[in-house]
Amino acid sequence: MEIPVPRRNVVWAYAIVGFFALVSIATFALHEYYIYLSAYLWFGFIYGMCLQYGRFCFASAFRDLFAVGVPRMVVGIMIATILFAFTSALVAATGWSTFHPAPTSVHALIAGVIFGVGMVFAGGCASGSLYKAGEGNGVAVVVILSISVTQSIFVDVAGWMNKLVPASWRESALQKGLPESIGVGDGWVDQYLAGYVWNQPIRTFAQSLGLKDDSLVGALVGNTLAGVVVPALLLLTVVYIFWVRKSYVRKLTAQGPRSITFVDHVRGFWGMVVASKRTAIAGLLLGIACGLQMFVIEGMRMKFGVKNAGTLLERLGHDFGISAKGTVFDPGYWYVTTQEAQWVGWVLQKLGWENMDNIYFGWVNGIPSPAINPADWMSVALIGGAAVMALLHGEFKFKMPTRELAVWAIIGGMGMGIGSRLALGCNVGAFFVRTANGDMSGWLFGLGMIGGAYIGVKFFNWYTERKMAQEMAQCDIAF
Amino acid sequence: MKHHLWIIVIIVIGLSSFLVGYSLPPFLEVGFGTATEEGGATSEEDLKKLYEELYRESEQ
Repeated sequence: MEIPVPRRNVVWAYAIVGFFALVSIATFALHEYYIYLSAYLWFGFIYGMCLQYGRFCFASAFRDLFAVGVPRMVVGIMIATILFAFTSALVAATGWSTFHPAPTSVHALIAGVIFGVGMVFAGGCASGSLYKAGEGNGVAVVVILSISVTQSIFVDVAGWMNKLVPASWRESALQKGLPESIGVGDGWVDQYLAGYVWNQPIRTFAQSLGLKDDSLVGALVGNTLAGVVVPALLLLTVVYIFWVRKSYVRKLTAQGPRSITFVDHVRGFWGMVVASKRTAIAGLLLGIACGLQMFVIEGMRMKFGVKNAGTLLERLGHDFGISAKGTVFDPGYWYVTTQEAQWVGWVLQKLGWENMDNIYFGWVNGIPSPAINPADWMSVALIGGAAVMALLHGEFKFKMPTRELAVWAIIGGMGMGIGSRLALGCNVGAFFVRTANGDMSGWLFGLGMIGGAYIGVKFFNWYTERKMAQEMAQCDIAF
Repeated sequence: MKHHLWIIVIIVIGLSSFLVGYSLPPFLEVGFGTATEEGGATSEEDLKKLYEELYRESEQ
């Protein structure tokens, strides 16, 4: 049955689409180069629509699984990762993928744990918070603010944090030959990146099998089959055995006494998979959109003769906040956290905080104005896309956070901010996109994130029970 | 309300298709599957090497 939607919701939905269309047309009329930013905008809008439709939130998924034993969303996310891997493989096989694998080492696992704990505390992952903000959820807005502020401060913290840097990191970082303006010897994250992360090997499943990432066999057999399908099926099997099998067997035996065969379990497994249809469809659409975005961005880079949006911004006269290499953050595919750090970084810079002397902002990503930052256009449009879907499904509602939820959102956002900077990405950039492209570090981050989510859920259960016991005790005293 | 959603989906698909079409000509010119082979230079070193070879060829 169709839920009646107020007319004002429809008007707002068209107004949002109209606003983004107007921005695209007006800026294109101003200069052709702005179409590069519009490409980010419209793919961001599609991501927002898909995320809201599929309720694509890693925090909710693991909370449902570990707290109440409902695996539907975790299964959906795994299916979505497999489907995205196939579209990524097709893009990679053409040789025009914009994806770059990340260094693989234990840092991804540790970062995943911190991120996982944070997302459970916050009640939403990095992508989940964005689409929930589009639904009018105030807690999600607080989470986004907390992630953004934490990252932009964390990447520039020096002083006493320098004392925590191992001598080997410092020595290695100083040998990287970075310009003096970066001051690589001052700042924990700088020395962590240049002295540790950059020294770690970059590994994909295709390369480990002796195949090339951009060959059809390498992309499909190495990165997709061996790198995604097999591990994802293993994880799904674990989920079936521990969370689904018991209730499924009980349901079968309730129909009459019988012995359970292997075929029954296969049917049960398939039932678990198809129960997550909505998230899986969203995953497929996300995968197609991600693949198309890679093509579009790469095509425009060739058309305009650039390798990075920084060059375009300079040509347009926007030279503030461009890194020492002449670059800005321009991943060419879906990403969430870096642009969040950038806009706060830009604000802090305007308030007098010198933050262009670190690797993250000063050497790699820059802090261009949010008004002309391609990735920021993507995130704003993502919130808009989610809002349109929520409005048209009658699911949009302004919800102010309570004080308790706001505190958890801030603490959780801080965990996610630190975790995402240690892993060089969040549940999207460090897990979903990397895993789907055969990057081994994606699975390391994912395993850490699952472990972190488990710790977070257990802690929350303990906290809630303790709080309820205290409240009950107070009631007893009152009586 | 479903038709409103479909209208918006069509608008978004239309705009995205324009973007795909806009970025397609360079691929048609260079070709697919040639990013690191005949597609040409991928780094500044490659470009330098390419220009050196061209220079050598013109000298000969």
